Amino acid sequence: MKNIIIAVIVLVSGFTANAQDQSFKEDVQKLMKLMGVEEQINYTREDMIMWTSPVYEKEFAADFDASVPVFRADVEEYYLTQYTHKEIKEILVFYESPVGKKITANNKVLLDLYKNADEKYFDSFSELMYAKKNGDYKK
Amino acid sequence: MKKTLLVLGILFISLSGHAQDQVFKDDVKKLVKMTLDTSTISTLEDAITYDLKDEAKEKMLKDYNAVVTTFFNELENYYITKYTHTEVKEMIRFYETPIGIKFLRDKKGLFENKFPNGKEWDKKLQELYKKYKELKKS
Repeated sequence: MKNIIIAVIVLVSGFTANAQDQSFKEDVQKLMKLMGVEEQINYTREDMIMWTSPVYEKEFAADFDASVPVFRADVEEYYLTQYTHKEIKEILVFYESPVGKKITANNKVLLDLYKNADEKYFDSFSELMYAKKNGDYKK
Repeated sequence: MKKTLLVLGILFISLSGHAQDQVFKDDVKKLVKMTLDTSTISTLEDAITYDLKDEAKEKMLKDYNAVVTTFFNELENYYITKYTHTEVKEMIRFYETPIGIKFLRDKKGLFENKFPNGKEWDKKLQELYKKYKELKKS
């Protein structure tokens, strides 16, 4: 009788822990969606394809798409190991607030704007370095 | 007397409005600085002026800071037009909590694919980029 009770307790604990792990994973995946991981993946894909020769576009896209699940798994693992479930829930509370929802709805808008501003920064910076190379700052 | 009071009233409201706008702008500046990885900017300042002296160095720093300001202005304008001051304050409030600080420290790298820490995606993407650059050459 005792052995049966112990076995049942162990089994229930096992199922509970598994259910908790599953709940933690689901919350991490939810966070990844809300914080803009997919938008970053899509942007990176489009951006890198632009720089690839059309001849190799199909091959590149296949290689890139193969790296995406690995990236998603790395991000998920990072949050599962570096954060507690409680911390993830706290972040989700923020993302589920009205301002958090607005941030999520504009993930792509902000990313596009950031990349655009970054490109302009890079162009201006290149002009500056060109001017320096020409001796403009030694006159 | 009535007219004087009216003019003073309008002036006071306008000055208050202006002061509030400035507080909003200051909070947006703070938010943008919190949410972006700006470590490269200060590193570059030293790198591009190490071989310059005095006036030349000062001029180059001034020009470089103008470039950086333009970059930040774009992000700041986005927040000023898209969000209310209350919403910006809410974001700052969260990002200043212990969990907000931790989350932001990691999330900052996302836009540059320097994420997650220790298994940054950009390293793998660099290999991919090299592979297809070599193919293009051959």
